[in-house]
Amino acid sequence: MLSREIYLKKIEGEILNNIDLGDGMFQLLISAEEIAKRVKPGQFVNIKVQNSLHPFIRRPYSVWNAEDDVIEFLIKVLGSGSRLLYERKRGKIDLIGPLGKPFPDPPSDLEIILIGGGTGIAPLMFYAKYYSLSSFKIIYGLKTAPNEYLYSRIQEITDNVFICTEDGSFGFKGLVTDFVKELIEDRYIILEKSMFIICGPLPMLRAFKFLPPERTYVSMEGTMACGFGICMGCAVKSKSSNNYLRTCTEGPLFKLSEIEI
Amino acid sequence: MNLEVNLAGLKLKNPFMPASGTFAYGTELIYHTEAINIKEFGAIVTKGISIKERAGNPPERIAEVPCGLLNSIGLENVGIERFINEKWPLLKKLDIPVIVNVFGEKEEEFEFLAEELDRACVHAIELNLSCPNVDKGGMEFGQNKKSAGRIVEIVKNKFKAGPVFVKLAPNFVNIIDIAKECEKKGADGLSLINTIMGMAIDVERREFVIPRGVAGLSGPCIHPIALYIVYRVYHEVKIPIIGIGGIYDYKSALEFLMAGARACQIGSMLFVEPGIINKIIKDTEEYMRRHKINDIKEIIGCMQIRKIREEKP
Ligand SMILES: Cc1cc2nc3c(=O)[nH]c(=O)nc-3n(C[C@H](O)[C@H](O)[C@H](O)COP(=O)(O)OP(=O)(O)OC[C@H]3O[C@@H](n4cnc5c(N)ncnc54)[C@H](O)[C@@H]3O)c2cc1C
Ligand SMILES: Cc1cc2nc3c(=O)[nH]c(=O)nc-3n(C[C@H](O)[C@H](O)[C@H](O)COP(=O)(O)O)c2cc1C
Ligand code: FES
Repeated sequence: MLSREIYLKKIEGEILNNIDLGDGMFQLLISAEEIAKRVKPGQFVNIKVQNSLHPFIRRPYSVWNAEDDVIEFLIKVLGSGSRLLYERKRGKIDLIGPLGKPFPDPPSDLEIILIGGGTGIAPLMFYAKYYSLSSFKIIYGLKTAPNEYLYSRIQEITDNVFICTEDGSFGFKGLVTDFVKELIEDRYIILEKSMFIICGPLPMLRAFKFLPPERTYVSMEGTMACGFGICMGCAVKSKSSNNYLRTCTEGPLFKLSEIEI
Repeated sequence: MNLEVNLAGLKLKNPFMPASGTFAYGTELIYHTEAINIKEFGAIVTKGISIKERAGNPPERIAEVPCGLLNSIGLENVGIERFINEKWPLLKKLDIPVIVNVFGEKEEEFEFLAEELDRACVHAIELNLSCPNVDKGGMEFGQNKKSAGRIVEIVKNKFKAGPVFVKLAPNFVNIIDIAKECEKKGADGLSLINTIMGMAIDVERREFVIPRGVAGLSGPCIHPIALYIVYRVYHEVKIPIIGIGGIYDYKSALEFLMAGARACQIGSMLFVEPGIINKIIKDTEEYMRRHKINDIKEIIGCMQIRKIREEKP
């Protein structure tokens, strides 16, 4: 049986705006009241990028923000699906969601360290905002300096944010992993008193295996055919048994101690 | 208006049901009535069940291709014991015919599964003799006339609770020969088709997208192939056929019925539109109204003899 937190009804959203944020990223604003009312941080929406048989499967995107009846996404142009979405500036759009397990309720006794790479920042920002977190930091890794708008959006949530760029054009030069290691060495992050949530590409998640596995959560992004638990396509290897877990329903967020990545 | 069909003794209120492996155990979505009304389905087909629990294949298990997808799930399932204890009690209560899809690596495994399912009194069995995603069993049996026939004999001998359907795929075999042999050995019906073997290569990494290399192709891209196979086999056998492959709307479903299928299964499209089966039922009713068809049987096999046919047994 699937959790009641997922909502399978097909919903017709209306694209309100689609704004280029540079570096291949864009912001997609969609009016979809039923989703906006239900969605919790960490959940995603399965989008039919266009009304045709190709691309065949929907694409999952984490909700970046939900307010009133509007949901927002932060998307990077990668392949066929995201490119088609990038080109959709207005009109109706076919959605299913919210899907997936929400992020865990924030613990009161730990500082929450939110680490994002690329568009992985989206659900983390929603999390911080939704729970009005008080004791937390955002560490954000990008290839190059973030667009001004994106940066201002992060700053709206907190000024406790650290940016790392691979080309050094903004903030710390280098990889987020190296930066987080430095922050730990400097006791700016107290390892024993922190919980980590990491969203980003798989190589980045793997590079964080040095963090305490019981208090570190990673968001997985394997290819999903259905997104709601019936195809078994989104398997991630469980650590405790010989079996696989489903990213779409048991995740997308998993404790590092739960899965093999 | 009558949408009922008789599928080798199973009475279905309409010919539409999910395909094995694309609707999990049939129980997962029972309460998601905002999207799916399972009670309207003609039947339910479970994912493939084996004797022992199977973990399935390592990821990536899915690759998208034009108008379809490749999958390499590897028959992940909870095994027969847990299926009967945990899933079957709930399925039974739905009051819809349930077809249990089974898979074995050896003849004895099929025999054991047939015995267990007979004891549980499931409504029907579908023998998966055509899965491309496992190293042993499955397709091996469906590739060879003799071994396919033998499995049918063995299962028919043990399973008396309902009809036995055999599921085949067109992978390097003469599917007509195998279908005829299965009929000869007592199969009550045929499920045509399973996924077709396929492959995708990531040219950047020079790696297979799905680590095993070979995977099963499904979705609208296989529909014309499946339709032709159903049409051809229909003329060669007397037992009913369930048409499967790439159904995405009521028209692509009705094509199967017209080609001779008594019922059809909807697979991959369920991933994209969870409510597709309910929509196909509704649209079919509308189609029948529009064409003044009182009984769906009027169109079954109509591409052959263009008049109302007697139903085959
Ligand atoms: C739970 C979940 C949440 C997600 N949230 C977001 C989000 O908020 N914003 C966002 O932009 N994307 C997100 N994604 C990824 C998104 O679903 C698509 O996979 C991505 O947009 C690529 O799709 P495409 O059709 O453009 O590329 P495809 O045509 O499917 O693939 C093109 C190329 O991109 C590669 N690729 C596919 N997916 C990824 C990926 N996730 N990372 C790196 N390379 C990839 C493929 O290997 C291929 O080489 C999320 C995925 C999941 C599972
Ligand atoms: C993810 C997935 C899992 C499947 N698992 C099974 C299975 O366990 N047993 C089986 O007989 N067929 C299985 N199939 C094949 C389908 O039942 C069906 O024959 C095939 O997908 C063609 O139909 P479609 O094009 O409508 O998907 C599976 C297909 C998919 C896509
Ligand atoms: S995407 Fe289908 S089970 Fe997760």
